[in-house]
Amino acid sequence: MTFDWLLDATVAAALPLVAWTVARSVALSRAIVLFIAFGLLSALAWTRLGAIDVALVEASVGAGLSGALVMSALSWANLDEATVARRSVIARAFVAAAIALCLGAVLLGVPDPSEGLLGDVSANLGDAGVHQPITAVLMSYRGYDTLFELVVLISAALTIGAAKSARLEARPGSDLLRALADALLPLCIVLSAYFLWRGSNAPGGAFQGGAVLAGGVLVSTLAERLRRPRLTVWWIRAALVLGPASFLLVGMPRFVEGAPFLEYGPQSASRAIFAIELGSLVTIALVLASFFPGVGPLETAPDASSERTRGHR
Amino acid sequence: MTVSGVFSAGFLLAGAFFFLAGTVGILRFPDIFTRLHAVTKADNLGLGLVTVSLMLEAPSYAAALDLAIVWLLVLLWSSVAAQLVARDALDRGEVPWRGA
Amino acid sequence: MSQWILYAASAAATVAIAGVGAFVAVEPVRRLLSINIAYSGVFMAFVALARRTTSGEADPVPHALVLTGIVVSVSSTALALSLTRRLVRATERSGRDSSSSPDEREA
Repeated sequence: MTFDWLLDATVAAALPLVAWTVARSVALSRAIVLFIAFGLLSALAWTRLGAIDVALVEASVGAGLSGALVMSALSWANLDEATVARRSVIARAFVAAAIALCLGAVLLGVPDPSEGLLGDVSANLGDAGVHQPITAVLMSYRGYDTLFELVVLISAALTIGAAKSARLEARPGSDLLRALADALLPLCIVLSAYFLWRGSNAPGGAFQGGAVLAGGVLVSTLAERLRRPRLTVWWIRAALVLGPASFLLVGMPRFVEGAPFLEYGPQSASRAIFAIELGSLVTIALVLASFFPGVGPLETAPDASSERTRGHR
Repeated sequence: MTVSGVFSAGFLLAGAFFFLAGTVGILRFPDIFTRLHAVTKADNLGLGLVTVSLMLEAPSYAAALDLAIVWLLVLLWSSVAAQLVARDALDRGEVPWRGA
Repeated sequence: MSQWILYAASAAATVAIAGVGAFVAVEPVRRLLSINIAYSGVFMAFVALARRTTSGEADPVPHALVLTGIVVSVSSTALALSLTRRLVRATERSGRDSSSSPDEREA
């Protein structure tokens, strides 16, 4: 029994355990913290499985941003409802075991070993224009997926804006947080540019860069250095659609000439992919930052019955 | 087993010990302020020791510098976060534990 | 037991536990947490299956799918939270404006 196997077994056993503690913890804050811990543990698991890009995205977006999002819900969530509906433990355990066994049977019944599409991806990597296989898959082989994923992100941001659920959170200003934001935002900008640049040759790319940039914008929003991106401003709207727009801009010229849409051609592929990644980074950062409610100074008399969403200053 | 390997293992074990101490502190300390001490001080020291051990095994000087920067960032962030949590707890009326 | 089998089993267990947790939770935010964990379990299954190659290097296509999936799951979580918050505000406002007593409202 090697140490590698021991590490893998520990992480693999810890994941369902933490999932169980999230489901059964009484305090919502405890469930949220355990959820973030689960996200980081799965990032570790993915690093063990050789999926570095996925681990980066999970740690930044899945555990970090999504955990912060749910944590901001603590301010308004109803904290004293009953945690779990009254159903018997036996029934729950039985259903869980049944699901686990069915899934396990399906997963373990696949052919082992199996090359999958590794061979095809490696063989055509020269034509794709980038050296990193995942960036090639995302931007070149399955570019349509990424295009429509950006559209899904934008529609989520628009729907959240339309739901008008975000209200300015009243809070006293904090000079400590302001100092930290001033130190951190430039660092986040540099880091996201670095991720974007390195996406062609090493784990990185638009998603990780966009997530880090969104984190920097979020800290600055909390520190009241920046305002939450509002869709009423025209250039925010323009920046929001920069991702799909860059896809269209890059794909259109060849389409007009008669080639299939989004066919880059091997000579200009790396430049085309970089342009698309740049646009996607802006879109992703803006969308992720707009998920969070804005903050404002402490109001003297909180007005509960009027919508204050347009009261951003 | 090279010399740097032995040192690296030693630092790793020391770091693990401090993490364990920090976790015991979170579980056993009486109020939020003392628990914040456990989390920020013990865990960050543990992280520093683990970082030193990884730096000894790093493939290049650039990678070692990367690790050191990661540790400094965690230090920066966690101290600010601890201050913010403590101030908020005081504002909410939490009374620091005084007693035997 | 090879590495991918370990993680595939872990993924099946995670999906099962989080799936049951999503159904028995009463509060919407807690349900959302369990659903997110179930997503993560499915992604884990994908990435574990990608590891079955003979060379040891993972197949990048499932990784790209999982990457897309993580980002989409975060946006669906944000949307669900926003709608839940709107719902909570609507119910508490209607509860305050109506003149019924708390006991009548419970029914």
